[in-house]
Amino acid sequence: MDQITLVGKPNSGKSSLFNILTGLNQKIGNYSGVTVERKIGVFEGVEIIDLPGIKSLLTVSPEEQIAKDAILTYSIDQQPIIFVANGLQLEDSLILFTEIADLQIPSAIVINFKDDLEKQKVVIDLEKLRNQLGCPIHLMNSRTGEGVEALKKLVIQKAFKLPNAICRSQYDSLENGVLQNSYFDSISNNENKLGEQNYLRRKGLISGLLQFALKQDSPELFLQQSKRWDKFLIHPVFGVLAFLLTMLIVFQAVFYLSVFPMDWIDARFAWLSSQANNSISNEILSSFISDGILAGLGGVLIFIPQIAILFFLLGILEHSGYLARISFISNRFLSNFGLSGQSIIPLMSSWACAIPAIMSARVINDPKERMAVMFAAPLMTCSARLPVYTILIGIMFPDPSGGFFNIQGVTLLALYLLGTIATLMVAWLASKRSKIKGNSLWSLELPIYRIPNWRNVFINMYLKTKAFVNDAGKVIFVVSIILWVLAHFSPKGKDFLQSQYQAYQIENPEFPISKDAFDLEYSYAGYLGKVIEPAIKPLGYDWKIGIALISSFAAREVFVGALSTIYSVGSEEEDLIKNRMQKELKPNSNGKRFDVATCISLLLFYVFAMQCMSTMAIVRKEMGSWKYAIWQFILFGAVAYLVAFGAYQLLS
Amino acid sequence: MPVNISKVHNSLLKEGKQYRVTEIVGDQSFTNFLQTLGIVRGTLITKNYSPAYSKLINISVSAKMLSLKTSDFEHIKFEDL
Repeated sequence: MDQITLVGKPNSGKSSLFNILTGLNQKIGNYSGVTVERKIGVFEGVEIIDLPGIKSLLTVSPEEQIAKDAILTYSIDQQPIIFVANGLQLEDSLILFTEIADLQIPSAIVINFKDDLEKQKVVIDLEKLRNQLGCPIHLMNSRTGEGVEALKKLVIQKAFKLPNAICRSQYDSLENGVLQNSYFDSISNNENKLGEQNYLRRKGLISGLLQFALKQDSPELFLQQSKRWDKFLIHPVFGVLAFLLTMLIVFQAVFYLSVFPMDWIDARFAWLSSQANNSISNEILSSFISDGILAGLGGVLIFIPQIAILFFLLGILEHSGYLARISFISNRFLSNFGLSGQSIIPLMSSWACAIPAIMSARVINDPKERMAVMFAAPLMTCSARLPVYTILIGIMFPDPSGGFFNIQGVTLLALYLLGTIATLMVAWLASKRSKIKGNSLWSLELPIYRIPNWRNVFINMYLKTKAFVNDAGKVIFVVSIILWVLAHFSPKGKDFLQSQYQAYQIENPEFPISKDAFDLEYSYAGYLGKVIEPAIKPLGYDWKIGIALISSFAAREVFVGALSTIYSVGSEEEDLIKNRMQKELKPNSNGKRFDVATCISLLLFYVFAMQCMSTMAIVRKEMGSWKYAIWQFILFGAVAYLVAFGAYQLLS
Repeated sequence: MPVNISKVHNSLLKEGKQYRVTEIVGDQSFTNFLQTLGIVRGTLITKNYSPAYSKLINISVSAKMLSLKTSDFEHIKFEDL
């Protein structure tokens, strides 16, 4: 299949154009051998690649290096590119284009943000630009799709052209009477032979060209409104308050807005389970479907609303330009922990998932800081912890009062804060202890404030939620079925179980339990749970929680699905997951299994424990050694155990 | 009259005012780093609102808003226009 790549500076609107061209017909992968996100979509039988943004071919950041390597490959393969230029920073964008043009790659240029240009009464003479740069140029608005038809036509007709070389001849030399050009090698080896002179020449040519092709009153007029907003949003008092309020609203909304759809999904699965039980006469098949498959599926799908809302809100912060201001606000604070404002985006990405966060740490120039962020990021509260937190908070505070701002949301915020504090402390320690040489050069681009591009926000939300359902869902589903098998079958015969149950009823008339719950104790899962029970009993957990803990070592989100399966097998009635857990009693007492002490102990365990095999694999890949991943597992696990132990012993 | 930021603290630069870069004091990696941002000798910058708590200086260069670390910014010399 033919491939075309979108190339451009960060914040040029590449991803918006990519979403317009490919819609939902896209997938996210990795570049070969590395873990930088690689977005590929299909348009009219052509693969469209969205390359990470690049500031210059002289660049040094590891993520931009990927983009640069790809561009160099296109120069050899003559694979076409669409260069997306930010219309509001046209000179700056076209200087990068001249660097690419000198590599002689078939190209077309898209000048983006047509609407903003019109608002600023900027007029661009496209014909003059085309003549000077030598390739097709289209003006468009990637937010509304205005002008995209011409680009689509260009892609279908493959009407790309080799652009005019701008400074390539500066790299010509005669060797043995043969004209050689060293531009490719110079870029490839990161040599800035001609240094500032080369840049000034490119800048001079482009600004000279734009003098004739661009009519505008003041090139920086469009920044004025954002500058005014910044006086409030990065203010030492109002800015910090606005940031804290924004975070509070985000976490409250994750809870408040998801209540209805979550209850709806949970109730539908309870109904489906009862239908399966009523309509299937074969007892094992009916249990397999209702307690295995449906309980496992329900354990995944119920969290879609919360995860979708979280990604939606983070998307708004990013696409409005506010996320960069959070970097600014946090820089001084993070510097106390050996980090910089550059780390805030990988750290906040960890709220979604530690894996893309660890990947995105590549944007951090300083190797020492990058290592500290990668090491500490798994302690940030990822979306996989959210199911565990929400269900346990829901059990602790079943009927919160206070409307939008209530104790559930405050508890969730407190857990997020605890995860953040732990992350910062570990990052500080990692930074102090590391022998890696630092490189402190970095800058932050503050994009102008915009109404978010809703298409981008929704597509991003959809893809991230889909990735959760696909990646985590598969694991949860398989583990749920394995657990059902372990929980449903017993090494003991039916007669033995019946006689034991009768003996129990006679000996413990004051603590009646169902036959299913009794059988569960003698199942394979029951025996497995009993083996680890002595180690987890001081934390307030029984063997059933132990099974869920073991299951969730692969991925922490499995915890709720595992409990759901275990309690489904051990229960004769169909009910919501939360209700089943609330009703669970401690053996030989009428005390609740999930009392406040146990819930807090579990919450704290999950704040600290490194229970994600995928994250460990990514850490190993990014850091080039298992050493860090194993340290994370042991260190975080030990802290989780000790904190959970302390909390339970204090509260019980 | 050149204003040497490294000696006098950047509070001498006035918010909203334009300055020209006259010199960049640093090694090749530092000048390359600034070049990727569009900052070379002769570049015009405007200082933007930069609250001191962040240890960052906000500037506008080539129609984009950037934050640079104060410690890096001190290695750039300017002249008043």
